[in-house]
Formats: sequence, structure tokens, C-alpha cells
Amino acid sequence: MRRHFLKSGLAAAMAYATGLPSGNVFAATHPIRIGLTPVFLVQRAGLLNRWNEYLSQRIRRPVNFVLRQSYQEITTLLLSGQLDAAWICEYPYACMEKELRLLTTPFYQGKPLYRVYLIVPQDDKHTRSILDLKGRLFAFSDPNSLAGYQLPRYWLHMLGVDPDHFFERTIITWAHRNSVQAVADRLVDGAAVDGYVWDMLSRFSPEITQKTRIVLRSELYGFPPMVTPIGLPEREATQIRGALNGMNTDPNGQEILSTLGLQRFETVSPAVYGDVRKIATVMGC
Amino acid sequence: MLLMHNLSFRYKIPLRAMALVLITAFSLTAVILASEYDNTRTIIFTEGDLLAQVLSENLRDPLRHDEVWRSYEIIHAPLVLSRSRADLTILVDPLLRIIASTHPGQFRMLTPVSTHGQDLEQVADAIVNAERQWQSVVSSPEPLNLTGKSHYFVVSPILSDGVFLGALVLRYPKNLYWPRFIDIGEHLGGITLGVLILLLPLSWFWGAKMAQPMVSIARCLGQVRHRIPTDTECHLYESEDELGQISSQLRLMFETLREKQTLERQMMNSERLAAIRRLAAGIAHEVNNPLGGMLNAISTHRKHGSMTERTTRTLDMLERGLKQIRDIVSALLVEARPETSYLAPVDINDVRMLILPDLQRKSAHLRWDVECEQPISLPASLIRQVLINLLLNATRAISEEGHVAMRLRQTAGMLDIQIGNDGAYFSPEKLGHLFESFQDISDGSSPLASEHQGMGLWITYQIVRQLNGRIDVDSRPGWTGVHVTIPVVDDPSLV
Repeated sequence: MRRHFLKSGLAAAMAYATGLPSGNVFAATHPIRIGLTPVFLVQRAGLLNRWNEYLSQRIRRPVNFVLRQSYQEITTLLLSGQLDAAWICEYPYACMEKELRLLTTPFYQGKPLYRVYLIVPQDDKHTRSILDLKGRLFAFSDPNSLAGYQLPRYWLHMLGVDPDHFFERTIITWAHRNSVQAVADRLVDGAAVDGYVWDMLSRFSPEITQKTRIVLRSELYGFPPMVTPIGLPEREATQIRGALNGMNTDPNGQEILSTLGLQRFETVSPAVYGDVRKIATVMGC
Repeated sequence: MLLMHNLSFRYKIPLRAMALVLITAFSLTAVILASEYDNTRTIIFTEGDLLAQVLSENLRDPLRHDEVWRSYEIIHAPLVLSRSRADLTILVDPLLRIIASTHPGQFRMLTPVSTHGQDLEQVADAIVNAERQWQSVVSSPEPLNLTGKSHYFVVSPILSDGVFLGALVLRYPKNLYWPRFIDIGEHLGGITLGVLILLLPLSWFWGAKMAQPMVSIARCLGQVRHRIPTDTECHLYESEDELGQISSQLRLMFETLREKQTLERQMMNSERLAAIRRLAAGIAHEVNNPLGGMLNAISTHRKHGSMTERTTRTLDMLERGLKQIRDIVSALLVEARPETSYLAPVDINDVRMLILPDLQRKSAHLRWDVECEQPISLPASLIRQVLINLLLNATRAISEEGHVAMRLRQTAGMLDIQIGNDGAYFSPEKLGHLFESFQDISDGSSPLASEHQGMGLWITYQIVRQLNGRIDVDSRPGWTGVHVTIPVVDDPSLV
């Protein structure tokens, strides 16, 4: 059902393909279009410009970053061939493994893995588990996000609770950062967020994360990967992969990586996403 | 209060001027603050209406799509940008439950808005009442402006195709104008202080100037109990205004009082004189008898005694002296007018002889300038009296080795006498009252401090007046001169 939901947007998304201009160095050539989902870094236009410049130099072609509000919009663009690559959540990747090719995965804290945090407002001293949030307000980041939607629902499901009727009310914030903000502002009583985003936020905007408390850190899951449509020519896929995987050996690339809080990009085995795949099997796509 | 009541106008006027400035300043401040209060309210509602309409427009789609986060971001934006003075923004659904607010911890999602205090209950009621009206309006309806207990509220409906999706509530604290009030208060306070500082010396000066005539009047009136002050002492205010009128009336009153006083004094003197006259008449009567005896004795001695030239001269002088006494004494007797004789050169010589001892006691210098060869048709005893009185006064006035001068001429039917001295002089004030009887003309510095002299001058004046003459006194530091002129007419009574 979820897969159907993801694919239904294909036709509508045909109209979307626009992107950031990347400068005029390779204006004659067809640009590489890379989709980005709203992680915290999209607010840092300077970082995106530097990354764009780096990739253009390495690939020797202009690069367009395409930003969309929801994971679904990026996935739709990717599947309709309007994007050459995209940094997406591991859950849509796990759902559409057949249509997508795993290009490379960022390494965070030395591993291609991250944790999901269950957070509550700082002044909530009582919540010990997600079950304590029964009948409360809860924020999801995106229906296609593992951390911000599927995982907490999976936990409830595994605890024998119907996730659709567990909370009094849930809201969608369309970004992990927004979920953290919603909890910090006490708009909601809890949220599940990407641990990497929370960590990055605590580095750049500690005043927000200070107003939240981590109740639970999940086990490790595969880090959101960089993927390409299965139909992208091998040569282009290799170019992009090479550019990303070589970032840690290039001073500019290294600087971008360190701003992102990542060590490197590295192509990993799809097996890294085995646990995600299992959840997707249970929760549906 | 009593202190203020009894305070001099000198202080009352500036104090009142300052009170007036303060009252004006307070009134103006109150008016400005009231208008500022109204303005602030109008500004709040105008600003609130605009903001509410813009936000409502943006909230329509998120509400339609149940996008709580997006709605939250929209209502939060003005707060983040510090563009709104609203201290609370609430978005409610058609059931009047809170969808989102700028204080989500306090105004929790899904709680009925009416449970958040009396003001918001009133807001909820207003929304219920206005809902039907909003839905019937084709274009976007105007926001509601509500005044609660402690806040103002702007409520804007969010409609889509006439369907009520919810309402946006902006709350403004009523005390928003306080900082402005304090600011205005401080400004006006400063200005008032400045004006007061400027006005203080001005009103003090003005008060002093205004109070001065009143103070003068009060002081003058205060003196009346002891004596009537002169115009020069009073410094009364001259003007056509009320105070000026009071002053001129006061001057008139003083003048009348002075005249009355003079009259009273004259009456008293007259009574006193009448008594003296009665006494003098008695004395004169008693003196006349031995006097007659003495004159008879001289006459008898002339007829029967042995007469040397020296005796003759002595007897002549004795006789003239005794006759003068008789004339003077008879002058005191109202009923008897004594026979009197022409003024002869020998009479004037007698006068000189009579005052010489006094002059010699003071080692004074006398300048005697008399041109009188023939008898003059004037009563000898009266002229002798005038001359003796004036010369004795001059002699008393001078200090040791002083100068006294006497000049006598007969010209064109006039006897002209000038007697002067370089002794103490009369002050202009005393000069005016010189010939009043029993006038105390002593002023400490003048040796003319004698009751006799007062009487002498008065008698001199009376005699000169009786002879239709005039007497002028010119007195200044270093010289005092008395000028007497008497018309010489044929008097058949003179012998």
C-alpha cells in the first residue's frame, strides 16, 4: 500500500524538475541533478554552494541540487528520471530497492549507521518509554522517514499497541529539525528524530536541543544513503560515486564533510539496510 | 493652610503662579496621555487587523490540509521577526479548540480556548456569535476587535468557500502603552521642570512687582496708628488701575487726616492760648500797677530831682524800657490798647544795647548795618519786639565766635529788615512749621531748641501779620536769614 502511495505521485511530479543553478563553468553540458531531503543542512546555503562547486569540479559537469519539502517529492522525482541521484531516507530506499541503486553511504561517528532518538520536552521528567506518551501529542517528521515515522510506529506495533490510536493527536513537521523544535516549544509531548540531526542541532543550535530530553536511543540503523535510479548510466553513477567517495581525500571535500559532521562517503553493502528492510516488511511501504 | 492664608502677597503670587503652571502641566499631560491611550488602542487594532488578515490568508491552506506544523510556523513567524506586539496568537478550529498557539506549552493543542481564562471565554463567545455572520459575507470579513479585562483581542475568521475553517486570535496586552506613557510622562515632566525653573525667578519678580503697591499701602496704613506718614515716606503706587485708585484715595485720605490733625492742633493751641491770655491778662493787670508807679517815680524825679546828663540818659532809657514793658503788657490786655510811639532811631539803638551782652558771651561778631535817621511811622514797641526776638534767636543759633548780621532800611514806604546768622539751620520740614505756636522746632542738632524761641517766633509772626507785613525765612547749611518787610503807613494813633 505504501509502495502504491509512493508511486502514485510519479505523474504529478513530472512538472517539478527545477534545481539550483550551479554557475556557468559547464553550462554547455547537461547538469547532474542531485535531490536533497530537508535535513538540517539545507538551511545552510553557503555549505550547499561549496559542495556544489566541489562536485562540479570533480565530475567536470555542472551540478544542480534539487530541494523538496517531503521525502515523497524527492523519491517521485528520482523514480521519474528527473533526478540523477538523491540523498534519501533509508526507508524509501528499503521499500524501492529494485528501482534504486545504492550509490554510497555517509559514515557518521565512524560507521555507516545512526541511531533514532525518542525525545520529550526538557521539563517532562516522567517519560521513560514511548508507552508513557499514550494519549499525548506526538510529532512525526515525514511519513516516509524511518526515524521520524516508521520506527516509533514499529515500536508500538511490536508492543502490541495500535499506533494509529495510541496518541491523542499527531502532526507532521516535514523535517527532523522541526520535530525537535516542536518538542522544544512544547507544541507536542514527544517526537522520534534522526539522532544525527539532533546531534548536529545540539552543535549548531544548542538552545533548541537544551529544551529537549532524550528518553531513548535506538539501536543502529543504516545511515540515509545516496541513491540513483536503476536506469542511470553506469558512467554517470561512477562519476558521482567517485566524487562523493573522494571527498575525504580532498581538502575542500574534507571541509564540507566536517561541516556536515561526517567522516566520509563510502559504498557499503546493501546488507547494512537489512534491519530497515525488516521493518518495512512489517510496517509496509 | 493657615500659614498660606497669612502669607504675604510677595510670596503668595509666585506660589500661585507656580501652582498654575503645575495645574496646566498636569492637565496637558492628562489630555496627551488620554489621547495617547486612544491612539495606542487604535494603532493596536489597526496593526492587529492587518496582521490577522495576512496571517489568516496564509493559514487557509494549512488548515484545509490539517497542517498543524505549517500553521504553527505561520503564526510564529511575526514573533520570530519581532514584527508583532501581540503577546499571544492562537489558532482555533471550528469547535473552538486550540490548533496551535505561540505559547504551545501553556495554550495546549486541542484544549478548548474558552478554558483559558475569562478574556478568552469572551473571545470564544464572540466567535460563536460572529460565525454565522462571517459565513454569510461574500468577501473576506473584517476582523473582530474585542476589549477584555487585561487585553485587547483581534479575531480574524479563516474561511474557504464560505466554510468556517477556524479563527485566528491575536492578543495584545493593554499595558502596551505604559512604556510610551512613562516616556511621555518623563518628557513632559522635564519640560514642566524647565518651565518652572524659568518661571520661578520670573514669577518671583512679577509677584514682588505686583505685591509692592499692596505692601506699601499696608505699611503706610500700619503707620497711621502712630502718625500720618508723608507722601515721600509712603512711596504710593501711581497708576489708573485699582491699586493706583486705592493709592490715590489713600493719599487723599492722608491729606484730609493731616488737615484735620492740623486743625485739631490749632484748636488745641487756641484753647491753650486763650488760657494763657487769661493768665497773662491777670499778670498784666498786676504788673501795670507797679509799672505805673515806676513811671510816675521817674517823672517825679525829673521834675524835682537833680539831673546830670548821665542820669537823664539813664532815666530816658529806663522810661523807654518801662514803656515797652507797659506796651507789651497792655498788648496782653484785650480791652486796653495802649498808647504807643513812632519807631525812633534810638529804639533801634536800644535793641543793639540789649542784645550786646548776649553776643559778647559768645564772642560773636555782629554786623550792624542800619540806615534810620528819622522816626518811622510804625509802633516802636512792636518793632522792638520783632527785632529783639529775631536777634536773640540768631544769637542763640550761632556757636562760639559765630556771626550775626542785621540790616535795616526804609525804602518806598516799606521797612525792610534782614537778620542773618551762620549758626544751625532749619530743615525744610521744620521751616514749614516755623511760625506755628508751641511748635517743637528742636531736632537735636539745632540749638534752636527752646520753647521760648518757639513762642518768640510765633509772636514775631503775629506782630508782622498784624502790621500787614510779611516774613520769609531762608535757611540752608551755613546761613539762615530772616527777611521782614512791613509797610509804613500813617498811623494817627501813634504819638
